Amino acid sequence: MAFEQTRLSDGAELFFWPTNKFKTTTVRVLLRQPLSAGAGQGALLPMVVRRGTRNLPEPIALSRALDALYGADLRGDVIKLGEEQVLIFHVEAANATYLDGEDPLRGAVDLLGDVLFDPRIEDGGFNPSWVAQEKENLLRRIQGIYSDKAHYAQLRLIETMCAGEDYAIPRLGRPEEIESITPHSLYARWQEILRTAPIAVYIVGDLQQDRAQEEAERLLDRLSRRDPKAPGSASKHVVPPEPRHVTDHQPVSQGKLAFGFTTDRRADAPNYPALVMMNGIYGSFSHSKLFQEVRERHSLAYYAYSQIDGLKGLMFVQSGIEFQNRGQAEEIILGQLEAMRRGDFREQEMRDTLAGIESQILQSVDAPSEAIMTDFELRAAARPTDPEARIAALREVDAAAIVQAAKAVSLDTVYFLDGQEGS
Amino acid sequence: MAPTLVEQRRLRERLYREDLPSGLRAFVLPKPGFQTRYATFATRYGSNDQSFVDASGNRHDTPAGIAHFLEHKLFEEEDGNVSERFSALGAMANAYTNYTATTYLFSTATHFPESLQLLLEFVQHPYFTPESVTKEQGIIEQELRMYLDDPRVVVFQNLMEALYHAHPVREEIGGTVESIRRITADDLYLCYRTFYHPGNMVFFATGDVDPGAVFDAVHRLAPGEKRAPVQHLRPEEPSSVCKELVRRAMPVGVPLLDLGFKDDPVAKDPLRREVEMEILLDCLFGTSSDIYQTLYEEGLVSEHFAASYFSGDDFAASVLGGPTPEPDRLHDRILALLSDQHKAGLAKEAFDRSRRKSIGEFVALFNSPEAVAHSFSEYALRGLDLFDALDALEAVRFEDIVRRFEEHLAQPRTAVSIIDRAESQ
Repeated sequence: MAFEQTRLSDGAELFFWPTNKFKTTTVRVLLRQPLSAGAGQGALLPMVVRRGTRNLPEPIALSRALDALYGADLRGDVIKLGEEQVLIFHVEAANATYLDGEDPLRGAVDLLGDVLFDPRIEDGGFNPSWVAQEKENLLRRIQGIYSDKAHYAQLRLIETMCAGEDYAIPRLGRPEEIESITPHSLYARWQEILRTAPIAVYIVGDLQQDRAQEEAERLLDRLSRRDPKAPGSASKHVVPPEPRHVTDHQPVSQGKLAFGFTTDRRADAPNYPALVMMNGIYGSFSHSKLFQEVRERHSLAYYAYSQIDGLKGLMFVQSGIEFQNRGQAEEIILGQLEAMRRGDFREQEMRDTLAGIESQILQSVDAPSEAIMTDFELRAAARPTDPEARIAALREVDAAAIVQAAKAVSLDTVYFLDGQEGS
Repeated sequence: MAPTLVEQRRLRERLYREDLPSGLRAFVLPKPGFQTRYATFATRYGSNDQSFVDASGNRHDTPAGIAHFLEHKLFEEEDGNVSERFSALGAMANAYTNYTATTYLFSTATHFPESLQLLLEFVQHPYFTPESVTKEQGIIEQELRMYLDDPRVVVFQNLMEALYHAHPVREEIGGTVESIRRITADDLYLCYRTFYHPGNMVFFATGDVDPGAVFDAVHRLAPGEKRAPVQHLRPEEPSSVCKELVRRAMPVGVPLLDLGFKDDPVAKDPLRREVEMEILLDCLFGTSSDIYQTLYEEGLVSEHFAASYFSGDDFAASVLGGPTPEPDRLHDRILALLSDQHKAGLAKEAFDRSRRKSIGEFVALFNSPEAVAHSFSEYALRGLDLFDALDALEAVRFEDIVRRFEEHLAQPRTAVSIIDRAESQ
């Protein structure tokens, strides 16, 4: 399976995967911008433009138009990708084959086009009450992260570890920035994004190439003259002389222990697959060292895992533990990394990890959104997109390369969400 | 006996099913073109089944959380954890327990036959020791503490406590830190013998698999004789709600509200009831509804607001809510707007729209082998057929929805659960 790439216009590409294995057709538009260009504005934009268009100026009308297209799913969101923010606009409609011949795709693509290029405009800006409401909603989404303690711990870890770097800018932006947004500033920013952001249009479904091409062209035909700017790569992380330790206190039942590590490579490096294998053996499967030692052997936690961000070249670990077990958990987690550095892992662990990653890679094409995002993120990281090529690169990794990758991982910051003092 | 083939023409799906001599119901839905090969093996035994009568006619009352505990422990074998053996096959094994069922599953892109054999074998092979039970208590305690800090879990569980007087759905699926400490290896064996009988179980496989080979494996590895069905005991549950309000402060960023309408469970045609409720709740509270749009305009709800019908054989309720800056005002406004809507009546167009949307969403469900496996298996455990849901959607009439509005939502059996922000923030 591979996406067929076609150039649509300056900085706009179509990626099309014809397949009849799904019962829907998915169209996804992805716009990349640096996080530093205004992550709050970027997060707010999908929320505001999704509310209504010039043709359908009331939210309820847009919602009902989608219901009439057999519940076509139109949504917008943002993700963080290294030090970039990606604005995602997505529409998915059931295929006509399963709907007595009615075809909701064209209508769904038209609505997506209206959302992107024909918003409801008042006095040269977005509708002021929508902007005010969605600013509130966005600020509340940011506050809501505080309710999800694992997510909150990860955010606090990165905020501390990468203070002053663009990487520390949260996916949804910062409250100060969001509060200063006006209907005019937001609209101006939207026009700038449409003019400068690289645009990827992904289409997945049971249709012919010429139909996909036609839908993509019609979708973008209102796009004005473009001046696309290629995004840069993430800045280099500044390593502290000694690991930092930060602790917060909240009235919670469980402590969250989170670690940030630096590595010596990023996703575009030829030796990156060795880091992927290292991370797999160390902490991303149930056969991995962290799960086996922290959970199975010492019963300290329900979860303990590691993950890597290849675009920035960092590794993270998190576990939820009893407050008083913090010292023991930390010792085990860092001790297992030490074991990786010593080469203290069996061939069986390498084989299991390879088998697990292979399954993940192969299965990533079994859901339209996941297939799209996997392809998009691999391209962003300048990595091969072909599943077989990715698996082949991992197969070549030997124990010595894994040890070398582990040796280059070093502790940067430890964050602990502790219980209330005195409780 | 050969498997029977059921075709869903509209969805262009072919399902093979076979009822084995042991009473096990096995299903295979081939999905050519998918890399994922997926199988579930589930038993009709969940957290609600704390009290039961065993095969010898003796009544047992077991500690809360035992079904979930058993799920964890079944992964343990004499020579270690079975997860590692799945890992070696490039498969991911998992399991989950809810109020009514325990489901074991794996997914893999490679080594399907070996993984299938492993699934069928380990679920039928209990091995519990006092030492391994003690070890698991520490792990499950951390799992429970994780949920205790999750306000979405707490707000829902508190609502169940408010809606129900005695029904075990009011207790947490995993039990409490105290209740799981009372669980012994003998308790686990008793529950295992009672509920993990093929006649109480459903097997489902999907992905690019060969139905013949799958059924062969199931015949070979899940033999057994039919036996009398398990007697699940339930305490008497009054139709009234237990408490009208439960509120608690937690360290949350935004308060949460869950509003529940208690319903009388229906014995006859529960699928029809579910489909009616899906459409009714979408008409009333979906994104295209006047009520949702009004609440959104008033700043009381966000896109995370949701309404769903939560039901099993012996419990049923509509639950709606989400994060909100003003839970009390949201509560008042929902009830006031619902009362206005009741006076004004439902619009036929709203019904048509919601039904159309439900049909499209049902079609989209078949994109995902996992989602189909889980829905199908949960329905089958209740004696229902997921394929019938599409016909049921087509068959629902506007009058049915109006009647449900009248008998279910225009009544005072409501309870509300609120999570406030803790003061110390």
